[in-house]
Amino acid sequence: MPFYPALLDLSGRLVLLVGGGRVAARKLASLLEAGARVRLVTPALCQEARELAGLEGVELIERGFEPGDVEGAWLVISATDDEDLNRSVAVAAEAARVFVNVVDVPPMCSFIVPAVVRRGELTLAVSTGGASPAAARRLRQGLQAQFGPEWADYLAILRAARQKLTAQGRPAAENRPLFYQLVDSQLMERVRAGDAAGVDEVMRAVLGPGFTLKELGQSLGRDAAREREGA
Amino acid sequence: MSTTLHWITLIAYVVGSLISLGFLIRQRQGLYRMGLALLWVGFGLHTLALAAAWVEGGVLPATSLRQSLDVFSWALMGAVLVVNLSLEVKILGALVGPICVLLMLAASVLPAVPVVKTAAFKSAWVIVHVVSIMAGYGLLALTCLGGVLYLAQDRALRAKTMGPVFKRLPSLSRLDSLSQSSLLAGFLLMTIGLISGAVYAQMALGSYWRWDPKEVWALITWLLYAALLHTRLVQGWRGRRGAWLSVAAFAALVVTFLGAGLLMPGYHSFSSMADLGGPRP
Repeated sequence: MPFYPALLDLSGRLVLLVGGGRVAARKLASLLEAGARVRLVTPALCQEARELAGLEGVELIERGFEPGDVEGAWLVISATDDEDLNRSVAVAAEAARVFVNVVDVPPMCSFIVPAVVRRGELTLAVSTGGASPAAARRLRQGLQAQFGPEWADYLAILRAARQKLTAQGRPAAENRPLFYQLVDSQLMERVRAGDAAGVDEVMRAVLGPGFTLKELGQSLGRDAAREREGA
Repeated sequence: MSTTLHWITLIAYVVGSLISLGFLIRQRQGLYRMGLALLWVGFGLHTLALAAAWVEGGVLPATSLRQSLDVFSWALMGAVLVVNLSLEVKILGALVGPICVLLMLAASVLPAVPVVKTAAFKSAWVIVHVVSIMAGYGLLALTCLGGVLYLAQDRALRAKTMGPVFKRLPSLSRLDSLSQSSLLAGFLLMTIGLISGAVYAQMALGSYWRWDPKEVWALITWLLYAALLHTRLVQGWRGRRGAWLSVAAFAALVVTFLGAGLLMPGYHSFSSMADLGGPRP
């Protein structure tokens, strides 16, 4: 049965996470990144998980899992290697009609998490439906090479231009071909080359004056710089 | 008097066009303003020249191809200058100026036919007919030019490198607005022109439609522009497709204006203007 792909808005929503190991720590990090509030239920925490559990938005309950823990959660993730515990989490979630993911045990999952590449607002999700996590991983690495950090700037520019243009109140039908013109133009090449003057020139040629990087409050290479700093 | 004014107009247009071309190449704002001012002066003189020709001939000066070309170049220049007031497309002067110069030169070298003083050309209906058709033609020529420039800019944008053309062309959004407003105004004027012509034909010839070649071609042209407007406003055909269509529709307009006047027999052809009668009592 094929999965139905969706992107979830978890900001401010409660997610139950069961487990305290390295995998649980990784899941906790990605949940916090999506802005979720996390109820973390585990009798024991590894170092990484403990650091993250101190962050805002995490409600730490240091004991074993009880079926009542799924109360109020939008999503449940079980990241333990205890098969009986995983099963009872899955059953409790199923009973409460909450989607549950048991890490590395596809048959117990009502949702699975794809391999993800993020470039600013671009999200590329790859899933083999659990057939081969290895293949999904290789595919993700290929996409990472193919879609460089310039996509973050590129999309930020397009978003800013779009907001500014629609704020001018022209009918949508009038603006639509302009957006297509932008994505069909050399804008991407200019962003990738870090050529700010070239970007301004393309924006002027399509949208007219008032759409330079400076006027849109954008700049190039922020993401690349961030990556270098982080490295 | 009208001849003298005609030549002074031509001189103003030539100088204005040259300065505007200078702006196109050097991109100096001072040159742009100077060229535009000269074209305005030329347009004022041109208006005076046509008015003088009207007074001298006693009828609307559009009875021969020579005069029609002159009126058309006046309408085109007027359309550009007026549209430019609200939608500044700075390179238009450099493009339209030379076209108007060529049209006026063509008008100058064509044989001067004696002005036909038929009653038809004194009728208010015919004056409205000719003036609105001509003004409409000028605006629709501008729509076509906007389309051509749009396609050129579009091509430059898709190219891998940014050439000098790219920097000088107006933005696509500006060109699209130019095409849109000139199309709306031009279509409206053309419609008024066709209706007033039909009204006069009903008065003078007893039927508002006679399958004259020019009438037929004008209808084809009008339908093309109606389709262009429809696809643009209703189906949102802007951009490339709209630009191509506006160029194609203008080709039909040229056939109507020149072909039907020169090559096809009919009461609209310039050679038979003399036979046009006035309204029947």
